Amino acid sequence: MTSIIDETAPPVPRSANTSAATSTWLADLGTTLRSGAVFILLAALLIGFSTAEPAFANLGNLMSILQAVAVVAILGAGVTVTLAVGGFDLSIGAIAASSVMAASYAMIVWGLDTYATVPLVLAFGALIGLVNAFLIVRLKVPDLLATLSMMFLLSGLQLIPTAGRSISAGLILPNGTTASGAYDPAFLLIGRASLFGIVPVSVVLMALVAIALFVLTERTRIGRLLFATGGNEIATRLAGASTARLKTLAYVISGTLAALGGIVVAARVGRGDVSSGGSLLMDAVAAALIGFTVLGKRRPNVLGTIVGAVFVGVLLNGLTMLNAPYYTQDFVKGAVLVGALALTYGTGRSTSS
Amino acid sequence: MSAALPDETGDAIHLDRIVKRFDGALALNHASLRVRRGTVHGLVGQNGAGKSTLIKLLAGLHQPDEGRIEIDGQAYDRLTPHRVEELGIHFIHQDRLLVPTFTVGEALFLGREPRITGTPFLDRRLMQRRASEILDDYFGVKLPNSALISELSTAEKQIVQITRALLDQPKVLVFDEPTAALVRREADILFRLIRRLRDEGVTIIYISHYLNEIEELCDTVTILRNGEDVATLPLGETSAAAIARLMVARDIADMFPKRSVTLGKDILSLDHLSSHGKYQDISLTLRRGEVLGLTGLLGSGAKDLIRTLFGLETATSGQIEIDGQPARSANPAQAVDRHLALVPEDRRGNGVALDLSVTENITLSSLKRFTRLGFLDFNGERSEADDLIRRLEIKASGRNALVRTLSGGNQQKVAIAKWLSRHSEVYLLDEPTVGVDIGSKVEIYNLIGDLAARGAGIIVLSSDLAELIGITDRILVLFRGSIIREFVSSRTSPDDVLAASTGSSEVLRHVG
Repeated sequence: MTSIIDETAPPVPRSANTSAATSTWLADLGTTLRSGAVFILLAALLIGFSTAEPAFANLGNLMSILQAVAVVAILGAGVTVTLAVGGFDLSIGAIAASSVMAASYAMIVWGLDTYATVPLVLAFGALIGLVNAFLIVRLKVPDLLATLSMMFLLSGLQLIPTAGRSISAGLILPNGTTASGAYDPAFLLIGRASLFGIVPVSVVLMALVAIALFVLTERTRIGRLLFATGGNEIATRLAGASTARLKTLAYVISGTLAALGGIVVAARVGRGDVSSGGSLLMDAVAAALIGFTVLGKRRPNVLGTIVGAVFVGVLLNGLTMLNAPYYTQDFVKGAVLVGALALTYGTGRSTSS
Repeated sequence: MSAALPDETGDAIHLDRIVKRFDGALALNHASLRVRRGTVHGLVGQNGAGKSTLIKLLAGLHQPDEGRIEIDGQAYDRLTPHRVEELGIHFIHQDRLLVPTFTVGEALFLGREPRITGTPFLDRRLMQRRASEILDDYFGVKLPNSALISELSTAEKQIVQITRALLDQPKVLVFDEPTAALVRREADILFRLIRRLRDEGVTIIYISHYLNEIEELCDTVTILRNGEDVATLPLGETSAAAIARLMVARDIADMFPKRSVTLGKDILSLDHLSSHGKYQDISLTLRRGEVLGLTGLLGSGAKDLIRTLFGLETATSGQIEIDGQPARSANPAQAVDRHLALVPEDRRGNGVALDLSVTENITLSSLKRFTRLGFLDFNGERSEADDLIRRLEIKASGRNALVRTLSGGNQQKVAIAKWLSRHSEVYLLDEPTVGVDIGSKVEIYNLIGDLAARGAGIIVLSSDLAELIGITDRILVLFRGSIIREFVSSRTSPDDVLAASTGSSEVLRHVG
């Protein structure tokens, strides 16, 4: 057993040594099916929907699916990083929503342009991440409670500057004056333009985030240490890594990506709606959790999260085209999530421990 | 509650030739324990001798592979914790049972709350009255039923546990290391209580590392060693010294392949190191190639000393030097940079990341070596992992196997391999072979010998004294925060070291 085993082979439980060859073969097949389950289902969906509704398969529609999931995927990538360190960030939806308000306020009230607004909003997200990390790492507030409180705080905070009003051009400020600024047209391109008229800018952003985060988490030392922190924080600290800094980094990344998601939403909508970002948190968390099953990783992984987000997007888009009513959407998402979690946790757990 | 007739032999408990294996490792090998009704029966043995396994079997937490369990003369096949409590057997253990957010009243009556007759409502008045009767009668203390468990002292928590048991009019009370966290005065109160309960006909099983307590309190003592009961003796015919000798085997010296290594220069030295309330005035030097043993009971300060060296605690005064350079580390990262390595006692909790692969665990502390411009060098990692898997004979299905799937001994090898990969030079090994099967133990001993031969300095903290003597050059015994004895390992015996660490050297000197 000490010899070098095929790289892709799953860990073989000790008991499997003695079992018959057939059951090993079946187990291998089972593992392959499990790790590929999301891809197989995705392929089945694509084929099924295109057959039922040919318009589904055209490039424009596929791009609109990606555009629809871009924000969720970007936020989901952040969720993945906090899950990797064994944490959880409930505040991302609220950060995204506040970022929509912050971006609108910066342009409409302060009259800033894109090049000032975008860095400002990203910095805002990073700052919230830093505060989350301070609560969790320094003050030892449990992650769920810390970020839940932050979610509350932000949902309220975003209402204060405008006394609860949505922000659009010509906004009347609490002091009675009228805001003079407007959305920078360049800013709107982030949400509305397409590269070469085909690929929406938001999809390009999603891809860039996906690649950057994938490389960070899977190919760098920091990424390895992030997962190690989630795997066993004490052991990682005893190995000489600063788990406090790693966790801080995770929450800052999560906050910054949530702000980026908010920027995309703002650029698409073109105004600061007080009610924006309602389901972002749930959708992003669902994408990250569905991602556990992808390639049989059974741990948070960026690629899986993106695939998870796309999977849900395809399903919803297809069902909508087939005239499924909008109110079934949350049910469908929930069912997918339950199935994915059952696949991750319920089956194929190593029996030897 | 049991309908059984009183047994003619007068045994309250009879565990008869019990065999219990965990993952193939033999924890109990035909061990027997026979406790007469109305006596205080001591149970002693080194860590890993099988005491806690035996007690967990009695508590219904494990089932025996072979052997019989008789309670009041009646054999029971599958005991459950619930059934055991129904039979009137209660366990007092310092970190069990009590929910910190409960009130004293809730904790006392948890699961058997008296109700006002004919209603579903709790009879709070009755609860308060019965609790204060017992508290007053047996302990002479008042604990308001509304106080939170988390607000109580250790001694008070123990009182609550005992009271909870007494409310049930127990037949057997099992005390598991009850004095470990008590001051002497509190322990005296406990001893008086135990004697009184015995006189009232309650059978007591008393487990302790402190042999002087066994001598003082027990009528009979059973000594466990390597999963077997080596002797059951009335206390009138034995002494702490004799018990100590029985606890440690003498004939297993062959197990320890100690190599002779020429010692090199000093690598680590401590100069009058003190940490308030934990240890005082510790001075020692460790040389390259030397294996230094450190031992002491819980609270002796040995663990704190190791934690200080690795930057997990800070000393209040004194110096630490490594290779002649000041080396007081503020955190583990600094300690690791100084080529210190810590293999912690709680392997699964602190030593390895169970859901990471063997490779990821092995390179965890040396990732910088496998990083090019921030990117991981997977090939380098793979060959490092393969190399160490081969050298340490780590048995896994491959380098990508999750550490969770490895046996305890192989997990421990992974925990050590991590530091070999880091090229560490001072190894702090905390109970390195706890929960490890015999075969892997010998492999780990060999590995320690290899490290010494390569010029590393090694400190082994162990409560397995035969092991400590077998693999170290010198042994320092800590007692209440000070080094009270130093032994040359080749010229001492486990009972000498045990006597020193339990503070009963005087007794031994009398006996000879």
